[in-house]
Amino acid sequence: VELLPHDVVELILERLPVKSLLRFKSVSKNWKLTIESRRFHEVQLIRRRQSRGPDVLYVIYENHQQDEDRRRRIVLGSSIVSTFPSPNTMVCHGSCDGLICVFCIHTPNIVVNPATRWQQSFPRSSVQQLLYTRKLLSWTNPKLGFGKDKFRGTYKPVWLCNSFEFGLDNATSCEVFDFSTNAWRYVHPASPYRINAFPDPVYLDGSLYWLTECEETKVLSFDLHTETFHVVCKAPFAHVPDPQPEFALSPIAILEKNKLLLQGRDTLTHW
Amino acid sequence: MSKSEKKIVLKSLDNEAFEVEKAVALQSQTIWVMCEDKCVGNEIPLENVTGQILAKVIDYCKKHAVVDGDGDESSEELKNWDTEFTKNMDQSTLFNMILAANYLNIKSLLNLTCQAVADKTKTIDEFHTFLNIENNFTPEEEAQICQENLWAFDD
Repeated sequence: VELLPHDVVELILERLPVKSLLRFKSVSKNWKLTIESRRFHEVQLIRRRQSRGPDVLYVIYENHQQDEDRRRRIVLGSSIVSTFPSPNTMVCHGSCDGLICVFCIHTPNIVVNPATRWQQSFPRSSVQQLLYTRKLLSWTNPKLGFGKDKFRGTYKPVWLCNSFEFGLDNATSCEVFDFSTNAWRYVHPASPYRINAFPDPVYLDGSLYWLTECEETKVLSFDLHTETFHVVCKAPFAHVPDPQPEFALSPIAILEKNKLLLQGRDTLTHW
Repeated sequence: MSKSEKKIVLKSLDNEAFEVEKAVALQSQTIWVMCEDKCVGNEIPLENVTGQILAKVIDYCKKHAVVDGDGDESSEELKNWDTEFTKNMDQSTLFNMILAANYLNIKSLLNLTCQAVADKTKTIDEFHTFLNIENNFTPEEEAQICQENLWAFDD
């Protein structure tokens, strides 16, 4: 029998689901090297998206008797079900390359890949620690953003919060976590506008997005490569009249071709 | 151009001859290069492909040549045809198709057949015979890797 050359074997491997690939790592050193390489990860992600379409992310909170032993059940699409113990109570909006980021103010944050069950925790930011020591638990707490520097291929959690509530300088204060140094650092200058803290920041194509708290609501972007803020445009609605969280406008989804879907009290807008 | 110039003869490993339109055969980059270099006559010997496999490859090329040519068949129809084409092939035929598509350098057929194998593959044993696998792990190393991904081994 004629044997398949390795580059053809790779063509088959990159079309396999993650579970099979994890099994096939034990086949040989050569296969393990291929399956664990970054280039292979990128190609496999693209192939699986092509063959299966976009995944839908559900997060189900399963409460056990003791609050300490909460287990989070994460369902990614219809193909992957992953349960992992996590005391964290909040999940970043959406996923970035299949990675999910969970956080709260009590414990370290965690990045999870539900497909491979890989996870890594990272420390809390200054603001998270501040919230914890002052026992500030509220809807108005800022929320963690999670996205990717597309040029370097690195992932970045980002805290953007209004300064006034924390007695900090300027309108807002911004911290970015760097996985290479395992530390948070401040970004200067942060957003010149206060942000609407109710909606989740949304990641799209190399940038994170927030809505501002101004009289006339604006859409604010943060480029994860250059680490700079920009006002993208005025939002396609005059302003957010009602400060109640349930009525706040929130970016709820990402449509294809660089469009954000925004949800308001009675409106569903995309731009 | 006379009629004979538009035809080409492909000869398999087991000496089976197939006369096909040039446009059909030229979907193979390998044959295209051979014809460009004028290093062959009207008959091209393919030393790595059996007649049984070559017949299937030609079926595929004919279907795709027609569609590319006059475009009266929808891409949806073509996709369904591709699915039917690989659906009933056994693993051995599929692997020989992959080898042929690779040798003849027909990218779309290579993608199609690799996808078909990936869709059908559950365990390594299914395509072990076609792979040059040297398990160079020590038993301890192998156990360690399996242990790390234990959940992936239960179905």
